[in-house]
Amino acid sequence: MLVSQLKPNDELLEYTKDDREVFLVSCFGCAEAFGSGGTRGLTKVTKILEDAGKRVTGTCMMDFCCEKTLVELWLRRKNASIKEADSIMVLACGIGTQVVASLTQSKVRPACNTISLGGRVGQPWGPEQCDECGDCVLKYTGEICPMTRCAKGLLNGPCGGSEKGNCEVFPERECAWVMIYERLKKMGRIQEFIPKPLVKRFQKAAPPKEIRDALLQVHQPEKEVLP
Amino acid sequence: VISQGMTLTELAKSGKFVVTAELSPTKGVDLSRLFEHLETLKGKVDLINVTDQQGGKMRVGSLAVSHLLRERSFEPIFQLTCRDRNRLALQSDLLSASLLGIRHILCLTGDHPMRGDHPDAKPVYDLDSVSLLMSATNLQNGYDLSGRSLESKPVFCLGAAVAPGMVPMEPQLIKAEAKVRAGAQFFQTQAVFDTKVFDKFMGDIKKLGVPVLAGVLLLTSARMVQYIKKNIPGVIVPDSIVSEMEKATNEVQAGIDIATRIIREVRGLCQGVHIMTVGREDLLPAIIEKVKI
Repeated sequence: MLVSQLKPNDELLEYTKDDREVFLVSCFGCAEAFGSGGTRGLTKVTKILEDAGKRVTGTCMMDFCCEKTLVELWLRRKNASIKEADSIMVLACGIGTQVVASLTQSKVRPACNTISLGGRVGQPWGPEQCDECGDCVLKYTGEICPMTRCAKGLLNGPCGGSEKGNCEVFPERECAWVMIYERLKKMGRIQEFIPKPLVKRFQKAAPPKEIRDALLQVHQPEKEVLP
Repeated sequence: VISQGMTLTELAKSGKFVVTAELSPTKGVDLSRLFEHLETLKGKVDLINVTDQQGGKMRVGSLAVSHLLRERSFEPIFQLTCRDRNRLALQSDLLSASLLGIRHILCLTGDHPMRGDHPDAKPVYDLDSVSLLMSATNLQNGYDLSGRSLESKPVFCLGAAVAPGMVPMEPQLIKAEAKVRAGAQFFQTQAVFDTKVFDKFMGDIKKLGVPVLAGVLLLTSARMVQYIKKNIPGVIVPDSIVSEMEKATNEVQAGIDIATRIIREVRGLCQGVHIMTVGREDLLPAIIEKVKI
């Protein structure tokens, strides 16, 4: 179970400042449990965007945003309203966001910060990874996570050692920053490559146990006994 | 030798073809051999880079050795990497450098410890080269990375590295531009062996308007070439140079010839050279004499 939290309103609006129309993908898996996805997250984010004068062209909720086959089925069904939108905002963990991004040519924005594994691990199949850093930067990194895929976790472009698109530290791995570059270039978004010096807010990473517990407490089942 | 008060950038802009050398601090506390090498460099080079645990190999600190160079009337370029320090240590070392009168800082991400002599070390990379440059610029403007005011401001001449042989090249160029925006005032490149590739690179990077010093690495044996090919990321040695070294009867002389040829070829293309002699600083005067810089 991945513990995630919706990003603050101003961050969500900053991400969509150039978009008038947004399509929302919400995860009905872990993110539903923490109110950052599912119906609750969807209601909140829809209101935030609509209050800012944006139109939500459509929404879809899927059980596991980390499951590529499932995500692809849903995105195909919703193709028409996705096409109308300037971007897709994903209410899921970092893996869910990367899975959606890997399947579409649209701009994809993370709506959540992924805080921790909450004791259990999700079941992603693909190469998409999430470090539960609590400060998702996918918006600035071509929807590919350099925190997990770059050996040095660099946030501002490739180091000088990348060779023919592979990592200098783990030569069998692709260089995350070359992947980010190639993705943005292919999508005609090269101006988004290293847009500003990013500095990681490590305070948000691996929060102390009491904060994690508090997050989990909020979502404890109701006292009422289920039949 | 750099004139009093002038920075590398000012020197290059004044039209001087800048020459920098490189010293690697020792693994131990006896610096007498290092300082012997220094004597041979007197009057021959403008500035000397002091590497920061190059290749992730544990050594005496670059800040201390930079300071000792200044005491011996050399102008050091303090190499500072993000591999071993978090943002507090990086900013503190920048202020310490300023306190010791060290102005030139080469801001680097740093080789991964996996490639060094302590592969189990925890890599830090709290910042990277771009955000380190930005932090140093912030300090010069009187505030730290968290926006708090400094009581007094340091003054730096900030440098950055760039790999002119990387494939694909465009991400490196965009990153170089980000480095200039973050405050880089000069570039020193990774070792250049293919001057045609370097020529093209210069055509692309010229627009950034900061001096570029081409990296020239002195080869001293065919074995060293194999080592570089295998272990130094971002350096491409063409096959012609590999065979030139392999066929040579006097490998050191062949290395000197290659280095001088590269310096001659890049001279019209960039604003200076950064000559890396890897422990053979004694050979540097001969190279400089040959190319008459």
